[in-house]
Amino acid sequence: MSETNTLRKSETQCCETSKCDTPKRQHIRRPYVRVIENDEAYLLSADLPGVDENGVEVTFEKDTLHLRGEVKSFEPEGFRKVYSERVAEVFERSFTVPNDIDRDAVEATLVNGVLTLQISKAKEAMPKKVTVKAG
Amino acid sequence: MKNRVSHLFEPFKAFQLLQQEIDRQFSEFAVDHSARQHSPVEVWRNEEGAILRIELPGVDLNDIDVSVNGSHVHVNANRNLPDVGENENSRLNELIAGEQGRVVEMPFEVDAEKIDASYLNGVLTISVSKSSNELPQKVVVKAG
Repeated sequence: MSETNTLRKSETQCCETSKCDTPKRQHIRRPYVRVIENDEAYLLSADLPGVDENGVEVTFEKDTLHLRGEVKSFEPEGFRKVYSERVAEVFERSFTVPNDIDRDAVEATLVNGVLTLQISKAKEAMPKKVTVKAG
Repeated sequence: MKNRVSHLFEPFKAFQLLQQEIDRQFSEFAVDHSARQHSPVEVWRNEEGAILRIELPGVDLNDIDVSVNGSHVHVNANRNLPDVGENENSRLNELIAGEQGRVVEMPFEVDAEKIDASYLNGVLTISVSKSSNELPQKVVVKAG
């Protein structure tokens, strides 16, 4: 599983002024990930701090797996933000997936801000033990 | 074509390039880990105190420590990641296990008795209040 070279900055229409033709750039963060492969599956973990289950999207498009997470809004009443090291409220990353996966056998969980995908391999791709008979 | 010809005479060069391509596929996007030694912080303020938000994805609630010393708020956390098994291959690993933390200095002395911390979706939220020493105190003006 390798990463698709899409360091995109998605563009959304400027909404502050009705006559503004310039698209407004929305900053995107690339989540840190870990990918582990075993005989049966690929296990992908992605850090998405601040994202809840309603803000995460996992989609397959041809041979590409897209991850997207939108940080849940936090604006406490009566407070003003005075400092932030967070560069964006949206996470995105894409991966080229191998041909040996079973797209119908993908399990996704989101725990403590970490999205975990278990992507099973197609049965044909799993190793098969061949019994050797005595001659 | 030139490269192809040269590979014929440099079989190991071709192998090197192949290895580089494999490395690129799986390692190109590894980050500079030294730049990740701290967890991003966000600070919100009002007259009475502040709210700190610190990203700590993948950390168990029991592995987070929050303490206060004067105007400093200390956060320490420990992230555990499962080891790669004998029958597993690590294809890409940008996640870091171990201790991480931040110290945030507030522009006021923090009331150690009035701290509230919660952990949700991998983000630690800490509410701190100004110490009573910091709050404006009314002085009764006596008639001369």
